[in-house]
Amino acid sequence: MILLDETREGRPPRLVSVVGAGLIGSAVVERLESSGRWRRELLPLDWEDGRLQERQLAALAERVADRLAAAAAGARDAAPPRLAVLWSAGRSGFGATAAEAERELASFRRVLETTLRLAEEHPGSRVSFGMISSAGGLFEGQRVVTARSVPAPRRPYGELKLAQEEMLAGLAGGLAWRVYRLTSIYGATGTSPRRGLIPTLILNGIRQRVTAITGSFSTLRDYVWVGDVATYVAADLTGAPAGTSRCVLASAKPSSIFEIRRLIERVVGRPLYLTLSGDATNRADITFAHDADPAGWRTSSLETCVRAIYRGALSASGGAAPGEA
Amino acid sequence: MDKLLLSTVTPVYQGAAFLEELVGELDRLRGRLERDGAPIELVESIFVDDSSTDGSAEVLASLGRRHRWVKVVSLSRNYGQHPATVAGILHSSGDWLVTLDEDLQHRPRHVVDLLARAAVDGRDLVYAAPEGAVHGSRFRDGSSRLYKRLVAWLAGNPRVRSFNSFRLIRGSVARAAASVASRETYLDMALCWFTDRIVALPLPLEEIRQATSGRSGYGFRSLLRHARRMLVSSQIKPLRLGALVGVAALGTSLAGAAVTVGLKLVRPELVQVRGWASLVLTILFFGGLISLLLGIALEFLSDLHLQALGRPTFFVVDRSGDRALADWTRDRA
Repeated sequence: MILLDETREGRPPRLVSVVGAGLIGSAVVERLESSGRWRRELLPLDWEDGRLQERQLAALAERVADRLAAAAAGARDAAPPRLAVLWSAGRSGFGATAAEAERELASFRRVLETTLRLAEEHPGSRVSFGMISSAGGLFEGQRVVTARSVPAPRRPYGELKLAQEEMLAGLAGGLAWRVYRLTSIYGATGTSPRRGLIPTLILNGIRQRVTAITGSFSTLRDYVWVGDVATYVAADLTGAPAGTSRCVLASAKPSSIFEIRRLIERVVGRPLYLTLSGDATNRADITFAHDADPAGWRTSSLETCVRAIYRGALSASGGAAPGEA
Repeated sequence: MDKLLLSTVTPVYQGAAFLEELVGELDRLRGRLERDGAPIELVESIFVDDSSTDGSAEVLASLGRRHRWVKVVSLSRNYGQHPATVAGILHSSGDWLVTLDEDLQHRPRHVVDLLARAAVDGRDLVYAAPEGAVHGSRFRDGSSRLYKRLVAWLAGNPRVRSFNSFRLIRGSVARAAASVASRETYLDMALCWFTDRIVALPLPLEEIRQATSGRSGYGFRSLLRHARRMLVSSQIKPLRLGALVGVAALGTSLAGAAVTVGLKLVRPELVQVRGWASLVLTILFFGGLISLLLGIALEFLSDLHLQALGRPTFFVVDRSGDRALADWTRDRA
């Protein structure tokens, strides 16, 4: 869990608490820090022990409450201080079991309740809640998903995300909130064991290792660069919180696994060694239409970002691109 | 069972005058499929604006606002018809995909006929074949046919004669072919790498743009580019022919040498000019050897080139959705 505190002379303080610093959470934190105005503080949050987690959240609430109270006392005529909490945790991924999903839902409830308490105790502050959800989990098997499409999860992970969204809508009361439904996010994940398809293929392409693909070459997915998500979510979190809404952050450009493979082979300059799993559970297509795009949402080219990941992976391994000195 | 999805892809270049009517016809096709209870629905019509300068982009933007199924992709510069088609295909999600020109040469009402042919015959790719004259000019139609025959022979691919930009393609095959298509790849050649279940269906096609304005959307230079790309994307027959000529020359020179040596030993009086036969045979031998080695080297090079272009070792296709479409087609008949 990361607490970010903005220091701007003569302006009301803004706090952002990012719960879950995985691929998306870290990217949002980095995007905020890149402005040079945000100070980060890393706080512990245990995902296994519920009681310990409650105590850690209480400590966070205390720290935030002090900061909000001091700000409110220091600048009576100024605009109110703001707190935005972003839930970007996802301990259990797409293949989560029902038990893992249940544990994560309980953590989500604790974080949401902590935020609600802070909002109640500091009516002079503007508190908002952002939640990273999964468009893939909610709309698995649906193609050309539009703003009117109805979620129909097929696995515990999708059900968890839907339950979290419903819990937020049900409990939030007067709290401003926004749900970001993300498609397949990709970005440089370093040595993290939970890598997506694109970084895995790039790394295995460089190392000349075999990648096992669960799905078929024709499976369609919608890939979104984590940097684009971070830019949008960071701007949204630090903007004026208003109302409640859900949005889908998709590229609206379906990509087959075959296309991704071909693209990465071209970028890496080597053939990829692949084995195809007979497992049919991951073969469902998930694609999106442009009409679900929120205002201000922009996506980068897949090839440009794949090249960026490749360059990063090469630098990390101290290697040079084929054909380079 | 969920309905199958149909996408259309239209590359647009200087076609503003035709777009309203084309979208109207596509809308009628959508309605017709729904009314007839077809197991397939037209879920998206993708228009790829190839940097037109006649206001096509504005017309498309307006159509996109009015019809949620109209999707507009804008290319950063003018890339040409095939790259624009490839871009459109790579933005599609359909189980089946129709590519059609923007100038109403390809009428959306014929899409049902293409679908019926694909479903009943179990095809992956159905080309529309013009029933009569297309370009409103005997010279242009004749030269087009002649050119296709020549390329079909050179490429050793008789399907070249069926190639047409009005085509119905199985979605997965289309996207796979588009994925491997580089700027130098001819899309239809790439499609042939992924399927041989190809058929042509005679349909009435007429190039309205040329008939009304005397101008074609893609001029002579574009046609030359098409010809070049078609050959670049093929294993060209003359390469093999060169190697065969080399083998023949080599064989002839060896046989000639045997005869010349035999004559010299058995009937030396018959050899009236000394040195001529051995000189010719030496040239023939080395010429044949060089041709053969060059043919083999070029064959290797051609194979590597096609691999670099992305010709796959294999591709898996799922045709399980075809039955519902075939049943519906039979019920309609």
